[in-house]
Amino acid sequence: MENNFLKILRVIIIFGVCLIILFFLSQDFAWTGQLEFKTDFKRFTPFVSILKPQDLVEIIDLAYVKQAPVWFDVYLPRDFDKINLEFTYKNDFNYDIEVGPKLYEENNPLKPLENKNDQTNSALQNTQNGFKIKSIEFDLKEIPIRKGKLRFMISIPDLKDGNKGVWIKELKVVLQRKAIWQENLKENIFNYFNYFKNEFR
Amino acid sequence: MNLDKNLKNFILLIIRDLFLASFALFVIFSFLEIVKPKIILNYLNLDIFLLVLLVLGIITVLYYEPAEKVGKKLNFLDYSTICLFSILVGILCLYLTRAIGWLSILVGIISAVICFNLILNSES
Repeated sequence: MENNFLKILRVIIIFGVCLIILFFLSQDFAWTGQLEFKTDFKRFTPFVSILKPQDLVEIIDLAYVKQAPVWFDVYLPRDFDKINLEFTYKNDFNYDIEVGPKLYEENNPLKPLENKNDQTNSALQNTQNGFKIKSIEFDLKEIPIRKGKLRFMISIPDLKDGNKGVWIKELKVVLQRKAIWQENLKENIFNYFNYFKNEFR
Repeated sequence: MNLDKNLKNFILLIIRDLFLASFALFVIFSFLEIVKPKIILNYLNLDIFLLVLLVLGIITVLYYEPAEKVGKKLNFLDYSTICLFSILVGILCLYLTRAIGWLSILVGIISAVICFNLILNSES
């Protein structure tokens, strides 16, 4: 009786080990077609850097941007089609805020995160204590990835006074690509290793 | 009294199995990390995993007494194969824990010794 129970338990343990390995592989391969992670910019995470240059940002309870532009890096474990950046931030002085890939020193293709003249912003939601949530999506086919890294820039042209900055509470990054049931397994694995070979080798 | 002893042995057997499973995971993770860096470390807190592995390992080493079995005697080739495999496991573990500095050498050596003992115990 005890032996049978032990056998069942061993099968469960082996099954659990296989599930754990599959779980980690499915995360990195993004088999569900989506990889999601968050950062508060207080420290480096495996997928997002802190805000740079560091002297333009102060970390108190939250990240406080006192001068702009600032930028951050997003590290991609594989090839993706789209990236969605969802910022939770506090813009007490209603600055225009633009976000986009930092490809050059100037004239980067930025998109408005907040525009004081645009009153028809339906995606904007107010949360507690004046924090707003707004997201922007970018097509990754149009942005060159360098060594598995994408650099994004936050531009606030009107921010001149360091005491009247912008608080950033959180950034949620959602990376999207075809799920495993939308492309075949062989193609999925080939694309994964092809990306790895091109970016890191 | 006897029931208590049986229960204790049963729990120790489960802990030993969990330790073996975690150790196998650790070796597989090390191998995957060599194939593609950060494939596991991006999603797993290695410190917590190593701590769990260490606790399970200490309990197994201190309290688990394997039942005596009569098996075939190992020859030189068997010992050499087990040695080589254990060294390979040690190198894999050293590679995975390289971020913790000189302690990774210790982890590698301990892993190789544990692996050697485990295989020897299951073979003899």
